[in-house]
Amino acid sequence: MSTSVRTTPPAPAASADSSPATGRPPGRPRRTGWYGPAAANLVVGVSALYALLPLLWLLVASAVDSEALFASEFFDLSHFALFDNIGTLLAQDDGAYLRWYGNSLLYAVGGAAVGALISTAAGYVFDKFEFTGKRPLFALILISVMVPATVLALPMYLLASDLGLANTVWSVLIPVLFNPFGVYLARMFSASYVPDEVLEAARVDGANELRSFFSVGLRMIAPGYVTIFLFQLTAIWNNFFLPLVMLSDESLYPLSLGLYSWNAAAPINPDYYPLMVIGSLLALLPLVVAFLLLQRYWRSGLTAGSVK
Amino acid sequence: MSTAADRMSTATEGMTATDSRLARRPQRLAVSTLLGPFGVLLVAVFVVPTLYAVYLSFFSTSHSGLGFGNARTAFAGLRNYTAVLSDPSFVRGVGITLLYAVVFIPLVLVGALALALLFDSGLIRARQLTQTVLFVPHAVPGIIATVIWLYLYTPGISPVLDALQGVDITVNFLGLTMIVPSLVNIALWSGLGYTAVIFFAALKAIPRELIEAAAMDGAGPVRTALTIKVPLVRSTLSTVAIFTTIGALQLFTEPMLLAKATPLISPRYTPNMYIFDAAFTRNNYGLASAASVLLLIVCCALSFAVTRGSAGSARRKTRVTSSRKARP
Amino acid sequence: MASPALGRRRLLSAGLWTALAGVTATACGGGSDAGPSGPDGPLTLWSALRGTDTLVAAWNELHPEEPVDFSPMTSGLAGGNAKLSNAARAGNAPDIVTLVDADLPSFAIDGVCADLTGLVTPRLRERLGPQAWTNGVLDGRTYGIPVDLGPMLFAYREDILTRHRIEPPTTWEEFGEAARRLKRDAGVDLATFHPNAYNVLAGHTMQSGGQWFAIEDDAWVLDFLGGPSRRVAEFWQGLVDEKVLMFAPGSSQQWLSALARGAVASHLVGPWGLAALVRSVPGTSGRWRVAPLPRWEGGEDIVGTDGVSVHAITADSDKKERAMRFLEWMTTAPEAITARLSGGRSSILPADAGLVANASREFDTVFYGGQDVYRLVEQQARLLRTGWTWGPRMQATATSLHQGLARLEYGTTITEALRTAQSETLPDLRSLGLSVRQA
Repeated sequence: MSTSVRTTPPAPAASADSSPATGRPPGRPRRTGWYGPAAANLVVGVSALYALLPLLWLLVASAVDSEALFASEFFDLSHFALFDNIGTLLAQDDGAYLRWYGNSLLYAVGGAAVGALISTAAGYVFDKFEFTGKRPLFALILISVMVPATVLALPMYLLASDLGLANTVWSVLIPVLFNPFGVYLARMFSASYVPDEVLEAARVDGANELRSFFSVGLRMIAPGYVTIFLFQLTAIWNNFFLPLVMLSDESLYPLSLGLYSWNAAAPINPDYYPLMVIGSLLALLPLVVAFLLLQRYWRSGLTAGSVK
Repeated sequence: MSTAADRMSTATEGMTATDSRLARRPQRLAVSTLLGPFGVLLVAVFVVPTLYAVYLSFFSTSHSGLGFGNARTAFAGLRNYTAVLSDPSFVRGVGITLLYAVVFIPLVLVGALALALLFDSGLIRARQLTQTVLFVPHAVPGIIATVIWLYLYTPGISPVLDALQGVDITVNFLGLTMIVPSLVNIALWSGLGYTAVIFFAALKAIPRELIEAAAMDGAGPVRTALTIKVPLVRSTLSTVAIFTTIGALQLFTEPMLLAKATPLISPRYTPNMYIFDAAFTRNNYGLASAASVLLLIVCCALSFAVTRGSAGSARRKTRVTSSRKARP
Repeated sequence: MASPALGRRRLLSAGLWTALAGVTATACGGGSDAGPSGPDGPLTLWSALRGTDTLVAAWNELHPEEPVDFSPMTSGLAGGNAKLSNAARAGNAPDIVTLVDADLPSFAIDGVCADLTGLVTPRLRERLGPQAWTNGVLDGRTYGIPVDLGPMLFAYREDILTRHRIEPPTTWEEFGEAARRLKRDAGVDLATFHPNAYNVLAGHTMQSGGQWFAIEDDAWVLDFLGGPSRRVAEFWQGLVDEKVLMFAPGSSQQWLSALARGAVASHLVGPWGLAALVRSVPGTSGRWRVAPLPRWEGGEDIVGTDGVSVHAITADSDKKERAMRFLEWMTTAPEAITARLSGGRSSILPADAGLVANASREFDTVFYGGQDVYRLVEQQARLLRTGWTWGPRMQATATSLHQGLARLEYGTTITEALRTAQSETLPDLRSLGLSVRQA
């Protein structure tokens, strides 16, 4: 089997050391072309600036008072107001921001933790077991990955409404658990992280299939679980359409929806601009930090499919 | 075959794994327990809502005459579909989305591929770091990416506009002709580095012998890139292209936010916004469902292309590479 | 086909809804708004109408045995309508809700509003005149209880007009001339064209005898571009093209600051807007006066409506009689109008003519230089046109129209905006199965 999930340092399956690619010293071209390293680095450098500058603007703009924000004067220390801004943000609308932050954490961390477990278990089953209807079921899952969330939002809202679930925490929390792409990833992770031999051994030792999943399989697939968790966390944190449809009670809003409601107010009341700036910065920090700290996991998720 | 297997070798000592699939009988409980929760979700948040959407699209809270006091749900046949397709605002939304897709998709694919090839050329310094930097915008929630750019588009706040003003250039990023480019820019900013990293991963998986052989034949790096590397990652390219297209068809968050800043973005600016507007401001569930089902059909056709496209690969090798599209 | 896996899944899916339904019990009670409260609980009221807080407080003081629980809501287009629809669907709509007249047909068609025909007492029926009932009666059935009348007025900066020796215009021709002169002599805009005020354009159309929506032979007839409608569109288009009017959204910062600076010299609005103006530009107090809205030269002496409210009882309410008692008090009791206006935030003209004196007493006219504003408003109300009908999906129509009007800066015309609004309204109505045709 030539399969190898690459760039997953903690993963047992990073086994492609036979690949010549790893043997090549990076950053040392064998020959340079006419375009030269300078031009190449320039292009990449400009792209990196394009990626970075808007975030830097957000960072700097968050740290100044509104006078400096509207005048784009960012480097005068007398305008430094980061902590004032945070104070104003937290006090606005009776502390709505913190409540939204808490909601987002609940939806995203809770949803991703449970959802990733459900997906991992399902992916594991698809990898390790044969059962009737497996192929069409997996095809259905692949299709569901590609169905736009908006298509499902209205019927889901109507169903939730009939069940009395609309405008409750559950109306957001239950749908976000569903992550078919996570099942797809988990199936691949299971294939490369959890050797069948190990399960066979566990079975011989008398563990039943369920026990061996929880005692052996889950432990070995853990890096994959973290990857799925991370992607799902991002997706839920970013989720906008579903809460927009489901929630009318502002105290249940996640950050995305809360910021959206403030954004609508900003053109009429400019006081909301500085709030949006600092609110956006604080809202994206956890994700960016998570991604930077857990780089190896998202890389493995991204490259999981790119097998040769 | 792997380090984990080695680690577990005490457990596997004396075992020869002959059959990779486990014995059949005790499976049933495991399969249903482990797959059960996901199965429930699949039915509850995918199958049932999808079928319900299709059902709704053929029904309508039907009225007769003026409509006062005689509402009842009735089979409407294709009435909702004809209404959607004859609605100038829906047709215009489709047109705008296509325009957006036609601008965005080539830009992001070509740009990301170029970046990936540069990374793969070995010419780039601090490759890991630049890749991380390029990737960071992807971790920024779409709504916040839009807010950042919206402010960079807003006169009075944007240092960019101030700077341009300084050299006597006035650009109205939210003006009639600039809206689509402005939307493309937001999507490009979010997706460029991310897509480049995917392409780079695919490029890295190319056996180096092939590239060395090309170099031996005297091909320069550009020619190697275009004639050897690109064709070898074609399937990754096409998969990403299809995912990007499906993503583009779902354009919603960005214009929803920008709409608050410019009246030129109507509440029915894209098909997704049309669906939202029909459902939640016009309370016309039949109309919204018909538009949803039309979108569903287009996406299914595209995803059929995905499964077709990767049919040649083994199940485990399906090159699904996107996660943005992952629910929710 | 009877595979064990599939069978189990089917079983699971059946159990799913039971499981989800179980969740409901724990999930309820999280809402912050007053929803239904059982037949013996307080009446619930959602309203965006100013002064409702003081009004409800007065009622609760007088009738502690039938308390009303009031929740403020955002106005319809700003999200209030969507919220009401969602609540009605989820079964937690309030007993009573305030709607602007334009949204009543929509909620009546959706079955959100109860048919109140049998609940209206003869006394109430008689106290409110035909001009008021025009806003609450649809196709012969009563769905809304009108609370006010809204003859459009010309509120102007007396100081600015006097300084430039301009009389308040009595005809639209004079209005155009005054606008040109004021712009030329002083660089001041006489008035503002609000691209987000379909109600104002509709008010002008009413005055001109136009009819965007008509009911003929049990069918809706759409005619956004009939002669009178077109005349209005072209008149305002001319002034916009000549750049003698300010072009800014209503309630925008831009417009309010222009009003405060005196860069705009008038505001065309219904009576409700007079108190709002006091609060928006307090610095200009004493310099405003109110005059009748200009008329068409040689036209009828009539005027259109801007922004009146009706109160509807929701179809699912289990306290309709009690709700009706409260509404009758709200619309006909002197202490009700006094309470509503007491906070200084409301200046509605009560639909019950018997209450005008009370309203007038309560309204502080310092801002308008002590002018007897209510007397003028009452006179104008007698000239209100009746027989206007709002469309069955007015919010969608209005949004579409606003989109078009906002593009005036980019070369669209008012006529074009009207045409688009009409063509974007049709598919919606057709898919609802309504009988619709274009004139």
